[in-house]
Amino acid sequence: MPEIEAASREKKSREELKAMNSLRILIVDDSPAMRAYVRRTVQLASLPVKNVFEAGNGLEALDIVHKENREPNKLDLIFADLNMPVMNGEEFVQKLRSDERDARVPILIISTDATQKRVMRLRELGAQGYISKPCQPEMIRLKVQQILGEE
Amino acid sequence: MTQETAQRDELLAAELVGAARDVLNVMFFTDIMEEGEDYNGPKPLPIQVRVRFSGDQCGEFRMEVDDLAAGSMAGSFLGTDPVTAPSREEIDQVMGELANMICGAFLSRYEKEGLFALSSPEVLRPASGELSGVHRALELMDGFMDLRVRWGSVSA
Repeated sequence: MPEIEAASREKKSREELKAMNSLRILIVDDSPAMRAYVRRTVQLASLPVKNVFEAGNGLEALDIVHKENREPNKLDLIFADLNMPVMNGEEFVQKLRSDERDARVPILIISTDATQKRVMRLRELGAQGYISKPCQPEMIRLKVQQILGEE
Repeated sequence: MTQETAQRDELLAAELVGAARDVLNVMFFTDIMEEGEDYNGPKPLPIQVRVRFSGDQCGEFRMEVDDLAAGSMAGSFLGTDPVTAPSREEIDQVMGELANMICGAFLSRYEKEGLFALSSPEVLRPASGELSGVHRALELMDGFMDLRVRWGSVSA
């Protein structure tokens, strides 16, 4: 897919990321407990995170993306759940990918819904990665590194 | 109940326990010590979480848990200092997420080819009403848990 190819051209090395110490991530989940889990996992993984933004659903997340992403691709990674009120994860991915400014921000889905149909659908919509819950912190760390081009 | 239905329910109950074990082992650092039709603990369990599912299959999942197990699992999940007990609000949030994960893991096993959506978990204290359907009572390392799933339309 052209978006993914473009995103991979923009991947940064681990050294570059650490030197920048400026990862900006967004966690989208209606469960405060799950947001806390992801935030803690990212912090424990020693990723050079500068800012962690949080949203309780897709609509809130779009607001944050548009605010924080005024210059294209300022956000480095978005973690998103699927089952959320107001705007679910699929709709969020779809809307985000339809806006040229935000089309390249990598999205990592973390959800309990691990059916094949769902995973294929999310790939088609433009999500870069998928982790099914339950998931160990190590799995989240590895996926983040993969997506950000660290390994 | 016909023999066929009983056998099907047994298989589904085994899948339910398998899904719960995966979630508890991987994200809550606890395990199932015993499982069966009933447990040797206080009744009813004080915390109940309901999750409704829809899509290719629809129905309701209920999880009940005691305070000790809930507090211990919430602390593990949130990585809180062992001296600092999680607040009631944090425990409810984590129990909601736990129920969501067990229900989702079970449906993903049961309906690999399908699509489903889950409602936001609803936490009730005290537990309210019983749900007929596939059922398993679990004894955990730190307390007790009761899991039930029913297919078909559910009451509001």
